[in-house]
Amino acid sequence: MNIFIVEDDPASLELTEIALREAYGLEAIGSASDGEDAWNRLSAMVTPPDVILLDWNLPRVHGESLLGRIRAHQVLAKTPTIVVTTSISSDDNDSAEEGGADDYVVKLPDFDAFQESLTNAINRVLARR
Amino acid sequence: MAGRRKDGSEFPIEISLSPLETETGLLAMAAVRDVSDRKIVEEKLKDYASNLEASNRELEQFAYVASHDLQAPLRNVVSYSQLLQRELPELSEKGSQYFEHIRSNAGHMRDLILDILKFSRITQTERTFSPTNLSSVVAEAIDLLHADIQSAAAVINVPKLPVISGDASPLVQLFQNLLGNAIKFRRSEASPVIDISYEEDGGFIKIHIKDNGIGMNKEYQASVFKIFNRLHSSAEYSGTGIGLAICKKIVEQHGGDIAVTSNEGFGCCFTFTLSIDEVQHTTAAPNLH
Repeated sequence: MNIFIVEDDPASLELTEIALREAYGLEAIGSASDGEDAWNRLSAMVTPPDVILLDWNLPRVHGESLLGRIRAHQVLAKTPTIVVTTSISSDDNDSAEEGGADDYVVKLPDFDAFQESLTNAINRVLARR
Repeated sequence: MAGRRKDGSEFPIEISLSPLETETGLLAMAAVRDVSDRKIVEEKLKDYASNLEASNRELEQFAYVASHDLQAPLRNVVSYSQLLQRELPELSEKGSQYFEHIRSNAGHMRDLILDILKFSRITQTERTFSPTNLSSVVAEAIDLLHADIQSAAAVINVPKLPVISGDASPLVQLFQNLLGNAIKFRRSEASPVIDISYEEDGGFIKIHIKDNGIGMNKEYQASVFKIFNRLHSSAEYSGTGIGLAICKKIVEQHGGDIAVTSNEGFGCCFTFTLSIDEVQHTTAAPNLH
């Protein structure tokens, strides 16, 4: 499985990588540390990743704007994209859904609970493909 | 109205006229007053009020942003301490206890952050009023408290409630907080029994939520609605001291007032008023104190 993570906080990025390595035995996981960097890498891809994990509050290009670009892109448009954020705000949840996110995962403080909700979301979006 | 000085400069004046009966007929007596000083004071007061309003808004915005941004580092502290604990399989009993302290304190801090977020959202959000069925509002609050109600074997008696002009989502929060408190602060020897009743009072509905819990001392009854005010240690009852401050805000946004009466050991009765029609800020809620 090929997962691409957009996450500006290195500590949070590592937590997500640990969760994915443990759950799926993944070795190489692509990542970008801000919205613009992510867009440069994603839009240059010939084959899109299986899943994009997208932080919402990103520097330079906000997650909402990046999601809009992904949905409008010829190659990436149908790539399952899960918003992964600390925000429990229903406004953020609504705008992620309206923007075309396939799922929404809250970065829970409990690692096991986070890992479970993240893998459940990934399995759900992959099953819908 | 302005007066003009000899040098041509103008200044604000106020003229008062009063009738004066004289032998030759009715005359008018005019008093012209220079109100420059009063105008300066009025302008200053207006400036203070607008600065205060701006600083309040900034403070609320700060509370929102700070609490939002605190979530990410707190989450990292909790998650990495869990991963560290995993790396230390031979951990002593004391070591495990220290990790437990990290976990429970971080949990409390997260509750605080989320409640501050809720409080600042309630304060900052402009209300949209529409016909709101209070029976449905209470039913939704009860639904959200389902697990707590079941585990405490609580009984909640609800009459059919009227429709008012309100904002449903914060009203659900209001009932959820008050009913949740009535369940949380129960007596160990008795299952919670909560009675909701209401009466109409002018353009207001007055709602009572009465429980059979531990109650509270009279001296705390006025201060309990202040933010961060707690009556119990976290070892006795968990909480952030924000829930009732949120309730007060919501009630005030609906044109009402909230108060509590209680005899320690014999339960509490929270009473609040809500404007039946869309809130007119000039109408005063019935006094509950």
